[in-house]
Amino acid sequence: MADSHIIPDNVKLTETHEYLRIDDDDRARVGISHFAAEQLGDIVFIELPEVGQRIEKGDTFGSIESVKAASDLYMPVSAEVVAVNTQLTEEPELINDNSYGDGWMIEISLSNPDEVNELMTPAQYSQIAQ
Amino acid sequence: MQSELSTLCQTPLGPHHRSVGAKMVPFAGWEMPLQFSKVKEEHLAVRSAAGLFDIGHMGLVTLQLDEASLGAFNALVPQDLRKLTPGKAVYTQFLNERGGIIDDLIIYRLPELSDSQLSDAFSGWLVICNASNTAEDIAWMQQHLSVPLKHQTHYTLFALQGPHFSAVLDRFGVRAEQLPARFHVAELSVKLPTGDSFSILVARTGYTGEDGVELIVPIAFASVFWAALIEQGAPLGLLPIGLAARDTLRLEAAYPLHGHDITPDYTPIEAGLGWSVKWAEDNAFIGRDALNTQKQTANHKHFVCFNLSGRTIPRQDDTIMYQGKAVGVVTSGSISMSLGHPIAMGYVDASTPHAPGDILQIQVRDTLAEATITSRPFYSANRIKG
Repeated sequence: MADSHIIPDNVKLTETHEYLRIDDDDRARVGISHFAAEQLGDIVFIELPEVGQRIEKGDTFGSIESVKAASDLYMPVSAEVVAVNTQLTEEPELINDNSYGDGWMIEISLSNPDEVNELMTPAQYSQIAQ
Repeated sequence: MQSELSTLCQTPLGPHHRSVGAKMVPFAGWEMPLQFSKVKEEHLAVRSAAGLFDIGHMGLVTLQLDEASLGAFNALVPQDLRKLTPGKAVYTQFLNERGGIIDDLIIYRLPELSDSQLSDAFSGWLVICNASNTAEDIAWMQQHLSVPLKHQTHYTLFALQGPHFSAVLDRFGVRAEQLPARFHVAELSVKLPTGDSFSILVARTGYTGEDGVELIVPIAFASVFWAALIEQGAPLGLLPIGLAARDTLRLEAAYPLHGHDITPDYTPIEAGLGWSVKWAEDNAFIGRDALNTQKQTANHKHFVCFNLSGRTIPRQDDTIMYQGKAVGVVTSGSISMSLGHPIAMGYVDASTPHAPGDILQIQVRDTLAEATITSRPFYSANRIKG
């Protein structure tokens, strides 16, 4: 996807390169930024949490392995996992192809929606991701 | 990133790679393509069809040897070069006094060439060095030899690997029966679709575990030949291949990468390269005493290959564990694109079990992953025997 590097407006990001894509008031999807996926290179494995798990902001929710490196995934906010993108097990390359779209990792129900305000806007994130 | 890349050497194909959108990275002082498409796609193209690699970063060094200087040159490697007939090549290493590997190389005894330009550059002996060690290799040879060395910078190197490599070359007027046998080198004439023809050196060597060739190409023809190979090879499944897939391919073939799996701290005996050490009584070489001691006492590290069943990929410097103790270190690890599971290579201490089937563990971040020793290589194609 040619414009897969463009960060959608409803996305907030962390310094550790995870994003939160807010679809309605207390539901959101989490993944990693296109920049992070580019840096990691072709992703070959992903470990994701179980549905129903509650994870605190800053704790790991999984890990990804690319051809060249491994990386832990950190929760951008405290939340309960309500869905997992199982398609990534078979096609982890979706993260490289379209990280903000089909490459989403987990869907969450936010424990404390105010935490969203602590995350970076796309413009702020673009300052660190280059 | 741009400024970092601008100080790097470029192969003649650098502008071409950038124009097709390859991801470029610094590697051993060179700006090289990491990948053109997807690593897995490139890897599997080499296994099932063919792949074209720009390996113009590797060093091409030629030298002329008479009988006396051949003796001095032969003392730099544990192979026996005195037995090499024109047109043949060997895999070998430069060793230090401790037997440690300064670099691993392929040394070619060149045949008589008919093309006058090619024979001006390539007569006598050819050493192909790793990019990161070329300067050190040249200095090492200069220190021990009194003959002039020539770093051949007007030629570049491609690798064409995979089961369809010969069909690709056929489109350039090179017939399968003209190809040199494995670990041989020959001069061949290449005819471009435009009708132009020129001479190249073709060596039946590679770093992928597939049958294939490495091609020494005059820089004047490099871009046009590369483009023609891509175009003519495409219907046969050929893809351009970057360094990332070159690494996953060589790892499946269990070929060591200098600077990682082999270094001046490891000997060929430890590295499982003892087959390339020739012990004839009159074959004196630097490091022989150290290697001989290791061989006699068997008290040395062992290079081992591991299969893993989970989704945890060991990486360089991860610790190998046995019965709760650290017994070694991983030197390379990745996913095997052909086998679908993680694989790794590394060294274990002399007293650690190291036979195929033995089960050890690898500490990968906070996971202790079970790793089963396997015989090398992980993957092997049905090779044509030379």
